[in-house]
Amino acid sequence: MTGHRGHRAAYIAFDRFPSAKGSAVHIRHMAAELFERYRGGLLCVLGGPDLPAYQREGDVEIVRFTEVVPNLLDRAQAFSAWVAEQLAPYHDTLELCHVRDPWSALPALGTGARLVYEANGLPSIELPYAWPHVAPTTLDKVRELEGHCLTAAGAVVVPSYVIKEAVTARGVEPDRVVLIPNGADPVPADLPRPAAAPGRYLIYVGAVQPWQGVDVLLRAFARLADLPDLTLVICSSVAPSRTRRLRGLAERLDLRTHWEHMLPHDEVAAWLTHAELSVAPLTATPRNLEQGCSPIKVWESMAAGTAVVASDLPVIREVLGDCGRLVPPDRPAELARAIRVLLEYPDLGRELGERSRGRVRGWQHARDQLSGVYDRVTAH
Amino acid sequence: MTPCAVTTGFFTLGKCGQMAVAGCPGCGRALCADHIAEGGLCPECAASRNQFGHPASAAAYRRRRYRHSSSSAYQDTLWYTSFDAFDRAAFDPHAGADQDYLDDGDDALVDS
Amino acid sequence: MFFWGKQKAAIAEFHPLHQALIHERGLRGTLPASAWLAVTASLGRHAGLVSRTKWALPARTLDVLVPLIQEVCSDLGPKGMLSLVVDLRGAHAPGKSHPSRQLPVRPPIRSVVETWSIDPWLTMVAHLRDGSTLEILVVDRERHRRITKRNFRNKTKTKSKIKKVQIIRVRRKLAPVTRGVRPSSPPPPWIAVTVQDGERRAISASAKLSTPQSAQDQIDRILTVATEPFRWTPRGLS
Repeated sequence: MTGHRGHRAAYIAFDRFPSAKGSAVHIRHMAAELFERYRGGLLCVLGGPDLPAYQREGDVEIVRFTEVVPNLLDRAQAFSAWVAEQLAPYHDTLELCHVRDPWSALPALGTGARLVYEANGLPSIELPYAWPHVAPTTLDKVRELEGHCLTAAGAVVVPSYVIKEAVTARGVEPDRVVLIPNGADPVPADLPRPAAAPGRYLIYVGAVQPWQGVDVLLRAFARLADLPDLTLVICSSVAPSRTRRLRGLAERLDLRTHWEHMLPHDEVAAWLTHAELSVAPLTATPRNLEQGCSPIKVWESMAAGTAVVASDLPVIREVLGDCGRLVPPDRPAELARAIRVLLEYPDLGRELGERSRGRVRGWQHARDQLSGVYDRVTAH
Repeated sequence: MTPCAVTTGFFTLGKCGQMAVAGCPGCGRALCADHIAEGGLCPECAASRNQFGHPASAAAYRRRRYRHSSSSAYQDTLWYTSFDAFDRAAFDPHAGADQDYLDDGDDALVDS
Repeated sequence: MFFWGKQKAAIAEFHPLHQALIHERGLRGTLPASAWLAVTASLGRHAGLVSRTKWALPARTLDVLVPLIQEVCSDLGPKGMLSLVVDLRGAHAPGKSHPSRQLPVRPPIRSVVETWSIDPWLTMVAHLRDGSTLEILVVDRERHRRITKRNFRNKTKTKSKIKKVQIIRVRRKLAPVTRGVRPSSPPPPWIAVTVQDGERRAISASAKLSTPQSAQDQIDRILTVATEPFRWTPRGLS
């Protein structure tokens, strides 16, 4: 009879779920905490070609937005309208909505339920990368919209100190912003080596947007051509069509690369564990410097006990501390040198890996903190 | 008893709640005998496949279309009015930074 | 065989309210949802059976009236009744125009004759399943001015000016125990809302607009005004 009783909680994300991306990991853990607390709820996410539009798992109802709308802004707004329609039957029972973006927040605000806004990024900063023709006036409107939703939320959850700064700059009172760093669950030490794995390899895990700096990594790897048995493995969380340009670059540079696309999340850990090094070559763009992020690839490399070589950015330093090798961003030569040093002194790499494994916290810790936020939001 | 999970009504939205006799092969939600549209689908799935033979699927289509268009008149759920055609044009598929992204249909607003 | 015999026979099979719409260009009735859906089903068969233009359905029947009836019926519930008075004879039907009057003029204008036509073509009262009563009134108002003037060559010229306005009024009387909420944002600027408190709170929304461009536009306007009072109560059925 659960279907007839109204849902008390809803988690809304303009993201495909499940998917190979870090956001899906995030949604899985955060939504699990919310639905455990309210014994079920409604999960509104984007659909995909092979995902059902409606799914029920115990007390959790999953509804997916399947309408095809070519224009992104129209799609976001159609999603809002669709979410409003999904939430309407639970108007009287909803107590808490957890959202990840302004277009999910608007319909949630309409219900009168308490709102927890999980800010992993700010569209007004990130959108211009994928949509270069966006006018500054449009971004101002997006920023205004973000500000409206963020200030209306009962609490704003951020994964990094840099994002916290960005959120408070939009007018949210600092005491309503809660820092919950991402986590990664510890990886068992005896994971079998993936069958496709080459002998000795460096690894990059994640998406391939320009700010990820994969091109910097490729250029750095070109400088390591004298190491004969070394391969670069790139586990892309997005479809092969998106990595076409980078694969072209790797071919032109004549690199030994191995590409894996959209690996299921549980297979990535084995790849990470058996890598010599994991690289996070983020670039020094406003997206990383002003908006901030909390790269799940770094957390998961740490959990796998693999040493990390990463760009020296505030967001990375916050995650990695002194448990990794930091290099100046956007500098292939410096990156290549740091990789070479760690490869030549494997003891140093092993020691970094061990230390970072101790530093990383499991998702349970993040969930406990989130639970505290829910307590606070529902208390007033 | 499993209640029928089809949304009914236009002004007063609610779930149908009759006893379900089948599940929609498209989305899996429970359906009562009155709400089985063409091909055993639920009205919303039938509407999204442009099958409007069943009155409920025509109603589902009209409801969705109306909510979509009316949200431009209201500011409460949506901020539509503040985005004009000029703002939208920048988000057309051909305006993306990387044309390789098109076939993928992946469209998160932010990466995390 | 009589002329148009097959079509006459087909019309005789139609729902009586459908027949009224054909012969009198209007209908009037109070029926439950299932009976109204029988009327719309009968109207849906019209195009396939009747082709004579004299018996064609009046404009706005299939594209405005039928969808509206269907939407409202989906909210009626098993016992709710919908009363409908429809008059699709147009604004110039007898009895809809006020007597013409002369406006004061000065040369070179010889005379201005103004005629107002008021056409309340749709009146709807529905008893919804949440216990509230929804009343919808749509009125087309037309001002016609015929202006005669004489130029310096003593030629007399006339011209007509027509201004059309549509008024949509919606009132929702809540069920006696329903609590109301104030919506979080204002309605669109062209909708005015008033709330009357009493034993049953009544929320009225009204709009005055130029005539719509298309039937879809017309439905959307009526529905937009009609949904406004529903923002004033907590949404969803419990």
